[in-house]
Amino acid sequence: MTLLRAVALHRHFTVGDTVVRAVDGIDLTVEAGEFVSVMGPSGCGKSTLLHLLGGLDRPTSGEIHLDDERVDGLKEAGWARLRRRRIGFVFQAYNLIDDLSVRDNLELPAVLAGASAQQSRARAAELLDQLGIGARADVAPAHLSGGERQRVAIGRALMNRPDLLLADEPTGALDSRATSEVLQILGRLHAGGQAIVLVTHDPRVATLADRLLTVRDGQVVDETRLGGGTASPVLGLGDLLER
Amino acid sequence: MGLTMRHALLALLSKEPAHGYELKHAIEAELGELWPPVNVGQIYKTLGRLKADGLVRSADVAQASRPDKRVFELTAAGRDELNAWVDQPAPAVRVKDEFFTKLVLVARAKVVDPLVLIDRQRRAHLRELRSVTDLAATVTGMAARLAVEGAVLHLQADLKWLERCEQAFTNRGDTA
Repeated sequence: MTLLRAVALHRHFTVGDTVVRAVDGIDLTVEAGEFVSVMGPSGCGKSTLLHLLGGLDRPTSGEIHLDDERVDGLKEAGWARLRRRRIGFVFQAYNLIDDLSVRDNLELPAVLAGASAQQSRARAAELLDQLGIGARADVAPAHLSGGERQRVAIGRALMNRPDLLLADEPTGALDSRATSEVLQILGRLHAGGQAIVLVTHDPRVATLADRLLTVRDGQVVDETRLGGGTASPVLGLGDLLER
Repeated sequence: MGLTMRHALLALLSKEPAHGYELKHAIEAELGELWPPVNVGQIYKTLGRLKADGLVRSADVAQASRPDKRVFELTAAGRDELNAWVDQPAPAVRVKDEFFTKLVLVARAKVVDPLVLIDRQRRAHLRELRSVTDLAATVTGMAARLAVEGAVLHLQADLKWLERCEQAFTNRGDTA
């Protein structure tokens, strides 16, 4: 079943006399439960694309359909409702609220969406446990490591059980170890049926997906299907021993 | 020179004398997570060559209820050979010669668009990277982890280089 469908998306900016085609005719379909990554160098338009898909920015032209609903013409309030209920966002910079504890950061989106305090608390406890940050629940985000903060941000994005998780360079600010942790979490979420669109410049992160789109100059220039193959035990290490 | 079976066996025998099956198990214990089961026949064949070259010697040890077992040990010449190999730094990996040759010659002959070639190679590298990261989740030994990490770093570098190739051939416009 198709969850998200973008057709001929364009986003052009005018800078002085020149038109910058940040997104220049991208078609994209995401099936329910699918994990798609978008990879390309900085400035290729991948973040702009993600912002369009989540309604943080509006296309110059093109269509966006979520399930069967056309959403590109929604007003800000309509997008805000979608982001509260159906689309979760994770950013490179975490964007947590420093005055709130980890637990309260998690509960906030549920409360805003109208859940009871009890429901919010239960869901937050579930996610704290799932993401391995239960012991940090009452701490302020400022006292957490980058990896822990990103786990909180992922938890916040998942509070209202969104159909689609959008992640913009979620490991961009993390060291290698924290990156691995976040990747493991994303892998587990996807195995549990979570649809994910992830934007990154890092091939190691991008290849976690089922399908990888390579973007250059606002256009998709290549598509690679990943996974599902049988892993041979040597895997490029064949020349370790010349027989 | 890579890590050949010859040197692997010399290295293992430098610790203590052993028979063929013990050597097979030792290799599997170190590298088994990354390497399919080692053929014991190949080990004996290599031991035979090492013996002919005077790098190992063998002695048959009687066993109570089983055939004699042939135990191999390093000779002085074998130890010298091992030390010479150990002392020599391994050459660094440079570019993927086969792909590079294809890219340059094919671009010249206009057999295929070099960008198509680059895309295809990138897809292969990306799939390989995925396989290696999947493998990374299953290996536990330190040696295996390091090998996987090395493979990941190499693939990342190769992918970066493909990006450079793409830029170069794109900017050139006419790819002749």
